Amino acid sequence: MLAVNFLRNLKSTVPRLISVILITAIAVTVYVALGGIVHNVNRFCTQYYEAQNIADYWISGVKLDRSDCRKLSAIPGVTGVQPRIAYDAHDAGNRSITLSLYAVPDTYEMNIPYLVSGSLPKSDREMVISDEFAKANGLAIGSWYEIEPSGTGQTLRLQISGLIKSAEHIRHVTATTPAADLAHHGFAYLNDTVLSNLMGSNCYNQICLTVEDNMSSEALLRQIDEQLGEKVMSVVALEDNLSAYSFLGNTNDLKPVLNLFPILFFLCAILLMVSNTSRMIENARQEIGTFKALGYYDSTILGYYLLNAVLVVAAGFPLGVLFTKPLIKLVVAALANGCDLPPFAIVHDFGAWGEAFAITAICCIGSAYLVTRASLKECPAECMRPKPPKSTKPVFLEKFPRLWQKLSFHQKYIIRNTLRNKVRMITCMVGIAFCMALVVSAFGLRDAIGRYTDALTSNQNRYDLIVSLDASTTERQYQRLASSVNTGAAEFEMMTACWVYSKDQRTTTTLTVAEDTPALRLYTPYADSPSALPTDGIVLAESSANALHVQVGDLLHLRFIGDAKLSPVRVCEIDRSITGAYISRSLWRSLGAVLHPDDGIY
Amino acid sequence: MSGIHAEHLTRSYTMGETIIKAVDDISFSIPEGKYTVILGASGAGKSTVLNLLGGMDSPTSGILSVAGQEISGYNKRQLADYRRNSIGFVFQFYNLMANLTMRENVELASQICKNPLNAAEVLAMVGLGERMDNFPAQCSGGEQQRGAIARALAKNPDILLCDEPTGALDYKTGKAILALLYELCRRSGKTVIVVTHNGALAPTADILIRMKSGKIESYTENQNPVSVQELEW
Repeated sequence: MLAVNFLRNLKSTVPRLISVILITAIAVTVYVALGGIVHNVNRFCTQYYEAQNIADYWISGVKLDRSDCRKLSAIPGVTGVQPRIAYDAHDAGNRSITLSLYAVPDTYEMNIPYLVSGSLPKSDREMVISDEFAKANGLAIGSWYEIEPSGTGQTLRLQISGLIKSAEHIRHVTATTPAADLAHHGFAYLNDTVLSNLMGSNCYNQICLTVEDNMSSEALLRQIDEQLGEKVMSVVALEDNLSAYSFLGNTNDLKPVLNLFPILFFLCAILLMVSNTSRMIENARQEIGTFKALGYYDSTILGYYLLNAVLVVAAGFPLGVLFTKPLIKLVVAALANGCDLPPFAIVHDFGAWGEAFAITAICCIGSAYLVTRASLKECPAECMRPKPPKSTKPVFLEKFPRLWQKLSFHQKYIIRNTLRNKVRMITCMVGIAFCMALVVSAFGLRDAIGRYTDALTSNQNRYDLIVSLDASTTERQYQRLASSVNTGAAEFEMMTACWVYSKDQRTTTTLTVAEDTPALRLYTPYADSPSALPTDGIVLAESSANALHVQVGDLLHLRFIGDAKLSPVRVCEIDRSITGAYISRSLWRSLGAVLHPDDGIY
Repeated sequence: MSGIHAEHLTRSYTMGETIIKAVDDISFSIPEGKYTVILGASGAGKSTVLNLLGGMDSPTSGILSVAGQEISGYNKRQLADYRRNSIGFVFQFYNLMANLTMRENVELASQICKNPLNAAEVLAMVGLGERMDNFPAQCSGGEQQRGAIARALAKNPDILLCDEPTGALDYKTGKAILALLYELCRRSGKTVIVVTHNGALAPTADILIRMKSGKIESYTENQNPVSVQELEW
């Protein structure tokens, strides 16, 4: 009969519970969907990286050879070593179309290309090429393609043996192509004998490493530095390889947001459940008394009123998970925008389902249990009587008799009633606060991202044109560019890689040599006006400063490729919005280094 | 010992610094199978005594035993069992479940009891044979009170407690209800205790307990009780 009574009472109960069911469903959707995004991206990337055996580290340098590979193999923790030649080339008929070439000796055991169709190159007249690039440029398996390695004047004519994707080019970006554009900037793999005449035999400019999971990056960097010395230009870890890792990295960067929003929604669900249950119990006071008088146990009565919470979970949870897969697909597609990925299926994260169900049950049933249990402590005789109002202590306004007496009866009545139910008032305020927190957080995220992109596009980048210059460009040539007709202003930048040593750490970084006061491309996006680079030190990225354990004022030493000399510089500024380090032209020259600008900014 | 025995029973409530004694050190006995009337003005403590007898409340001090069981020392679970198996309670305002029919209301009470009576038979006994599938809102006040009595009877209790059973009814209907309770007591031999403020009902009681200000004013055993039908007030 209790079940019959419950079902017939549903007509009046459900409308009130609908709001709780909806907020619970939203909380479940947000939790499962957002968790599912991270789960799917992590799952796909892990499987992709493992299947293609992607490198953990890329070492770029000069005159690297097999003996260097043997030295690196001997480092404890290193599980795989692959030398290769990395070279840029452009289309023989169109210099604006470029290809990143990777000439690999022996077999493909690391950074294995993902074959879409065809086969890996078997001879030095074949290559495999990005399928998106091939599609955009009208190439197919069997097509002959002419390319010119940059700065060599040579032409290579190679036959396409296969179309590929690459785990190290998920979002193919370079220093000159910050936005992925596989139609114009592709990649290709070929045998090392094709490019051996450029570097010499047994000569490479890149070595890829795989290491054990627990290998310390500081220890590895130290070993690499000791073994290879000034041959090394840069060491890039997988997590720092934007081209390979940005898809996974950007998704994982969302985790704090993905953790916050579901919590807020679940807290809203708890508040609504508590509010609804306490109101329902109040209205059912006499009914509870009757049940008790008839001899029903408190546990049975408790279970009866918890059925409402069970109903919320039973209705809200399935409703919530119903929309998760389409939502995951939508968001993953947005995150994968600009990425070159093999097809993959979105799967349900059943672990997240279980967690969401448990959290929903605890939030809804748990909160209802606490409210209902408190009401059942009264004896049946008390339940049969209407609940007496709380004792009316004087409100604080009554301490000001002149003010209190000026209020009308109704005003006093309202004030007393409001302050009598403090718990309800606080619950209401907290509920509204959580809802406002959600709204404000969402707007804040939008504004923060918008502010950053605005800062990048309209504040930091004040130029019209960037010209990439060849390393052989002379000073007279780039000064002539600066004084060309219609050039309002011109600045030059040079990017180079170097080792950076602190007291106990070392790392490689990209060093940007800019004008003493860069005005066309500010070194930080949030500066109000062009600001001068320090003349007695460098500006260091916050991530590099953390890796090196340094603060403003600390001394660093720089070592450049092919040079054993250590150049001391001070950390004058640490900025979280830059990459690598910035040094002024004056300070660069004072170190005795030559300036070879590779970017002209107009 | 059978029947009901109360010794120095007290029930007090604390309101801040004030202590209100609803029942103040009362002692009485009610033999088994008697029709008992507890009489008194509003606030005399009649309903409090009924609640204590029915296990709906616990005494502050004193001993209360029913059929040899000292219920004043029972915990919550034991009191629930006592209310379930030994007590049938009839309330002034019926307290029927609005979403259950008369039959379902009776079954709600009887389905958890050890030796319940058949719901349909009990409803027929109280004159609701034709209305058992109606909801309380579809019945008159008298029919609802009969339904409440049927609910109490279907539990097959040892004691039937009635708190102002005619308080919400007109004279004719109330008299019919009282007559029903009287007949039930005589026929089944169950102990029936009726709380009322209507002094005209005094002659019907086997035992009359008058209360005033939480104390027993008088305790009378009536050797020649009068049937309810014979009374006019």
